[in-house]
Amino acid sequence: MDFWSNTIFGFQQVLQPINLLYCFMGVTLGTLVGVLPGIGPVATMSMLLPLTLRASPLPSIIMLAGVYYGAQYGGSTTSILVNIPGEASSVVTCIDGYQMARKGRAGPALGIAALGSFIGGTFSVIALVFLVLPLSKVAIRLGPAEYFAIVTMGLTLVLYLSTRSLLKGAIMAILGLILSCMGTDIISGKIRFTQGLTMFYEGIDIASMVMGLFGISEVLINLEKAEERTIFKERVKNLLPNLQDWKRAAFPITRGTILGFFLGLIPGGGAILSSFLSYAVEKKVSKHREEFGKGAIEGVAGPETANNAAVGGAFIPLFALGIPSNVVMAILLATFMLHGVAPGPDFIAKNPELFWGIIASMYLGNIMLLILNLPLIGIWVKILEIPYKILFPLILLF
Amino acid sequence: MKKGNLIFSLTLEGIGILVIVESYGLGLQTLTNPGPGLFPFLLGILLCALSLSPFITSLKDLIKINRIKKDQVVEPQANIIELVAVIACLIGYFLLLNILGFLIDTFLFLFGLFLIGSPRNVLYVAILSAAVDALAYLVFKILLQVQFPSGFTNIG
Repeated sequence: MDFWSNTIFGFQQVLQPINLLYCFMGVTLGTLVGVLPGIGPVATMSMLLPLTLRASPLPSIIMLAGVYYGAQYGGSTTSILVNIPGEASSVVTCIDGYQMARKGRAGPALGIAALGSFIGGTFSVIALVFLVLPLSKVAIRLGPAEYFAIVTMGLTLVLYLSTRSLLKGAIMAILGLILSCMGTDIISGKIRFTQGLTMFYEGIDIASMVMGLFGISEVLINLEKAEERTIFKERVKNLLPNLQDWKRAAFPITRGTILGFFLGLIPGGGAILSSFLSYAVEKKVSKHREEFGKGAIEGVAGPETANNAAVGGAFIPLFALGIPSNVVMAILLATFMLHGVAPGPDFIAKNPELFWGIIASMYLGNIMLLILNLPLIGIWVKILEIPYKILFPLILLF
Repeated sequence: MKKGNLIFSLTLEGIGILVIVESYGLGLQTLTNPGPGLFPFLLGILLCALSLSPFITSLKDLIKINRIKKDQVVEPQANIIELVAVIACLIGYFLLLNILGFLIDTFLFLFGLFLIGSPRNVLYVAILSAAVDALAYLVFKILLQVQFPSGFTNIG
């Protein structure tokens, strides 16, 4: 099957009402957690993971992926209106986005962030399809030696990604390997480290572990931080950028798309690094350098496009090699595994309905997000007024 | 933080030793014909060896700090009571779920958590907890048909 027939096949999957519903739920929840400072896509996805056990793999992955790229859209709203990044990847958007809002240009800032995100997100999904297929064809020839090398690379990445202490990263990697030994040894059949508890015979339940490590821990971390918010009270108007805005934002969006996509491919790169790098590039090449930090539209368009474009790139190592390049992808990998699906070289050949369904859901999800983030921006602004002390019990319960 | 690092590395040392002892009991056999205990045994040794460095460093730092001036050491105690209370609520929720049932246990859990956020407004907290409890029951039990423990009240 060629690209077009595969894409149509994907749309046939995703247009089923249940998949559409899960896609909508995912992007809405994603925008919500993106908007709310104090809870991110990682915590949300890890908490939703047990709920997906009742659903089939396609809607589950569609929903969780929707949370991830939806959060990239929503993150900019808080950065522009409150000067607090909703997501780590929207930190740089605060610099010029908030200044634009203070000058009465919150509408164009939000508009260019949403439209740039849409362009970056959609392009990265197309590029993902064209890159993941040839890579999978190469990966299918891999043998045990290559797989051993991939596992070693995975463990090396744990150390590489340990930003603060290499030693502590190594200790945690070893602790993780020890925990993975719990349960029945697949070679001898002996039971290891279960302390007589039958619930550990098949190892530690991945859903519980992910929820504890990423979900509950994030809530506890946020409880430690003091909360201070000054919400932009003026009515948000003129969401569509004018011709002058488009002229200035066109190249930053193009550069942000390319930069974000390729940085998304790099393990540990992802949305955060790409948004920072995009801002640095735009500041360097812009004709209006003096406006940066004072409300330059390029400083919003570039990073917001880049962080969405990075999402598509991050999926490539997962789909083609079965390697998660960041924590979000690790949660998606866990979801695949919970449903008995193994991403990797033969993933697309064995599960075409899953792969093309997920791809189609991303096109559709980006359109849903554009609608959610432009005409419905007022709702998200209202939600921002809910204090975290009220929110965290709800997060923990649901 | 130094004290925290010390406790953390000491805990890891303990885990490492436990793993070594238990894996040895599982049988190591040889490198070419490994037993079920060999891989975790090696991991246990590695864990002990790597945890030794932060243990010694934090111990040295702690001794040094204590010698200079005890009252200069200011540990950041950011919302520690709130954190402990939240963790206690989570553990309590888990332990009491089968006894009290979903409805009552969830109400108490929410009441506790909301009270941490707004300790003065007890009536408001009680109403809010009851409303969210009812909503959760509606979503999970009625709509999603999740089976919950009914507890002594037999509701749920």
